[in-house]
Amino acid sequence: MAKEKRSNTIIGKYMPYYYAGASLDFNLIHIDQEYAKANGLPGIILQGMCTMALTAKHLIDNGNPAQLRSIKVRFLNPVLPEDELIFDSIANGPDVSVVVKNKNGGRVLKGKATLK
Amino acid sequence: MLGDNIIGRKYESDYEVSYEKVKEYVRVLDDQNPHYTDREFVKSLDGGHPYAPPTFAAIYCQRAMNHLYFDPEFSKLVPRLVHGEQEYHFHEPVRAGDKIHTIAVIDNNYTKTNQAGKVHRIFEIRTTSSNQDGQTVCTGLYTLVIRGE
Repeated sequence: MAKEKRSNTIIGKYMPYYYAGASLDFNLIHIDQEYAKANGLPGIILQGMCTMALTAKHLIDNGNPAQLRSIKVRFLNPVLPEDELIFDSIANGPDVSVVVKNKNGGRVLKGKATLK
Repeated sequence: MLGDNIIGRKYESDYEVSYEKVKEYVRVLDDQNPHYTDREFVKSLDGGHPYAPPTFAAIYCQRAMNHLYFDPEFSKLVPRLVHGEQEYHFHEPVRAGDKIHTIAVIDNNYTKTNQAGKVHRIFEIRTTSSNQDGQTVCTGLYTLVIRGE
């Protein structure tokens, strides 16, 4: 039986800065508006690794983190500050597929994971 | 232009996982899983130290990746770099107090033309991280895309 799960998260206005501080990923496309725009982006974007971390949080869901055996994601579209993200996953036994969309329905991440 | 000679280039780093850092990291994610933040809960569970979230791999691999980003040849590409795909396989769980050694190797480098005709350059970086006991904790594959002009 496939098991479906949905959760959502609002990306705070300053989250790229907070995540930069926590992760030491200070690539300027995450923290400098002018630099991001000059390099063809709509503005600063959230670190893909942060979206991935939020996806893993959705999958683990307060359980034992050791149950997550693998995760593979593709970053499809930039996540912007103040986006609302919707996480949808479907588990078939240990195999889970996951899609993350923003509020406009645009897919920002798709992936697969294994949970034992 | 970066040639194929970059294949096989290797970057290494050491990282000691601290409980305080794990707590800072999960606070950013608003992740209240007690396996990360509640020392007493974890002790009663299995007698060990608090866990790091699996995706904390991004943190202990970051220094090795930074060596790549600041490689004089590669750094010129960084303004047009986006993270395309990411894969992690988790083995022995990482816990507060662990000392993690990471080796990142440039494994592949190719070009890809998108629908708009732009030629993107793709770099695949493989990471292998092991703990103080020599156990593998995580293997990763970073797919980095240098967007075409």
